[in-house]
Amino acid sequence: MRSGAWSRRRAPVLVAVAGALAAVLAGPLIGVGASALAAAVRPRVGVAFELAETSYRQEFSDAQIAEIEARGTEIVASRLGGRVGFVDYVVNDEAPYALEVSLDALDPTGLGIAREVGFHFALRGAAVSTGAKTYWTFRPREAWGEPIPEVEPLLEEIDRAFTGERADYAALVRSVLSQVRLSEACDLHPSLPSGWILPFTPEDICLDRGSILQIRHEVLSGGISAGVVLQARYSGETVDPDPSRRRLFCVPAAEEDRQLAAPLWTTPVEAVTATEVYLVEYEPLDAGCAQATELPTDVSFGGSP
Amino acid sequence: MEAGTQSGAGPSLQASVPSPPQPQPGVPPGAPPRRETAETSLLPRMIALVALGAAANLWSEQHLGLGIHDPKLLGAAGAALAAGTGLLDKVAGKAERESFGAALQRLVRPLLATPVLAILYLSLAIVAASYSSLSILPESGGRGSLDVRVVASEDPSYERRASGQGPLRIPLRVTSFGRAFRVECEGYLPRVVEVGPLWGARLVAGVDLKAPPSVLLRPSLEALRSLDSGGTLTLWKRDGDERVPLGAPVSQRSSFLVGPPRPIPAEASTRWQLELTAARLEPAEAARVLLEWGNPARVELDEPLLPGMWIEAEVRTRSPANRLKARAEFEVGEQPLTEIALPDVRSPDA
Repeated sequence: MRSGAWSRRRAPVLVAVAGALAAVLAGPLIGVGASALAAAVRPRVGVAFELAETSYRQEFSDAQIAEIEARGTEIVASRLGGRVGFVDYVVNDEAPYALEVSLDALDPTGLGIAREVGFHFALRGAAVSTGAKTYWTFRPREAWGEPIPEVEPLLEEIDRAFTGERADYAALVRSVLSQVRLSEACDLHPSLPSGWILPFTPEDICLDRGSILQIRHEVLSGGISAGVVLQARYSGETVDPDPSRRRLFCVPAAEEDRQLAAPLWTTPVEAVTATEVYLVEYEPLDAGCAQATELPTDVSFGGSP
Repeated sequence: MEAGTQSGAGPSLQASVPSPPQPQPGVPPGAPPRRETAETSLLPRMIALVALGAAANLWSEQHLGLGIHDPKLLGAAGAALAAGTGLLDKVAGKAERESFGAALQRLVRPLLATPVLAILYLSLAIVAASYSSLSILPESGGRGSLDVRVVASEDPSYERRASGQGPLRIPLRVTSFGRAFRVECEGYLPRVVEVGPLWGARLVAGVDLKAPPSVLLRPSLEALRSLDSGGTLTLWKRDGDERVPLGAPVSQRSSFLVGPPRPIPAEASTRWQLELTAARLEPAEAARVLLEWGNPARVELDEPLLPGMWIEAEVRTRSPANRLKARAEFEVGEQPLTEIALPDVRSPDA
């Protein structure tokens, strides 16, 4: 009896250990054969920077504001491109998503004159929730009284803010860019190691291990369609002599996902469809794949991306 | 000696044979004797002449600053006269004394003639009715020299100027019923004063001449930051529908004092502290702003602020934006110090 109870209690632990062992053993090139999944392109996100804080705007002419917003947009796109490389940031171009970055008071309608000023990030686009927002501090409340610099120093300060310690890229991905659909399709790999094959190479989306993806499925069972949302962790690549044909392979991120995913591997392939893939936690690949957008030549400042 | 002999024989003869009185030269025979007439009529004339001299001295002293007014000097002159007279009595003989008296009589007598006295009195009256003066005394405690310009109200071409450290006396042409003058003394408000004959007029700086009012301009917190970022403060005078700039724009993070320096009331600091608390400023920033508001920068204007002037004060953001940041419009009062807050202006273009 005791032995049976012990086995029942420890069974999930053993499964988890086995899963983790399988993931560790998987390595960059796991034992998953070549995939015929066509390579997808990185999603495009249009970037727009706005100088919204009223007292800041008053210090500049209309032409200066236009210049700050145009060059600020380029700075933001460049810095995001250098740090969060799983999307393409475009400026002045059509894109399915729009990332609006506005420099405004933390609470524009709040009481008191001395207010903290920072960057408000908001994502617009199809199927994007209104809560896709985050905020970075630009100038804390205690620095409210500092003079507002001229155009060039202000752009330098904005640039420094995107490379400084207040730049919380993890929060940006978690709260905002996680709503950018990475792919509309991925292949299920039911056999061991069970997981998903994504239509990218690691370099395509500049993804390193530790990144967590969210995969949404549609499961048909008894004529009823049900949605299943699981989190997956980048584990390695499929085996292919042609590196450009290797694809990302992901396994369930946690034990809970492993248990929820288990029925999927036994369901007929035609009854399960992975419909959407999102990235919720991002670890950039340190391989120079995240390229900062080249700034115009008249932007003479800035640190390393 | 001959005269002594004659005079010695005379009384005896007159005593023995009284001779009828001889008619005096110029006196018709039979007319009543004029003995003692000259002496009795000279005294009041002498008094009248002395009074005229005293009046002239007083007038001169009052309006020109020239005259004998020192009691010691007057006493010394009297003592010298008495001593000279006594010395003359001791040293000179009777004949010399009579000769000196006759000479003195010849000298003074014309002045005592009625027409001469009348002319002298008339002349003094005309001068006293036509000329007067304005005296300006410096402020107690002194604030340096006075620089005064006096202009006749009805005739701006009639102008007198004076400057100096001590009391100033400015002779002026007036009429018998007085004349109005505009007094412009540097550092004080202009004033119109009626200068009458005889007494003139006297003004005491700081009492009769008021210092111009001062205005403390206190920019809002955002306006202070704009000034720190290169913004400017400009003062305008409203002249009907027109605005006339009162000086060059000032660019400095500070409050501003227009007019003579004045102490800022202590209660102002308490009120400002409340304002800063309501603005939710950090303590360090609030302390900084309090110090800036309490130590205003002096602003020199092209013309002094006068009570009744309508003033517009504007803080604008730096060029080229040049947006209106804070503004106040006010009428200059007569209070020594008025505090004017410059509140933010939310312009629709920004």
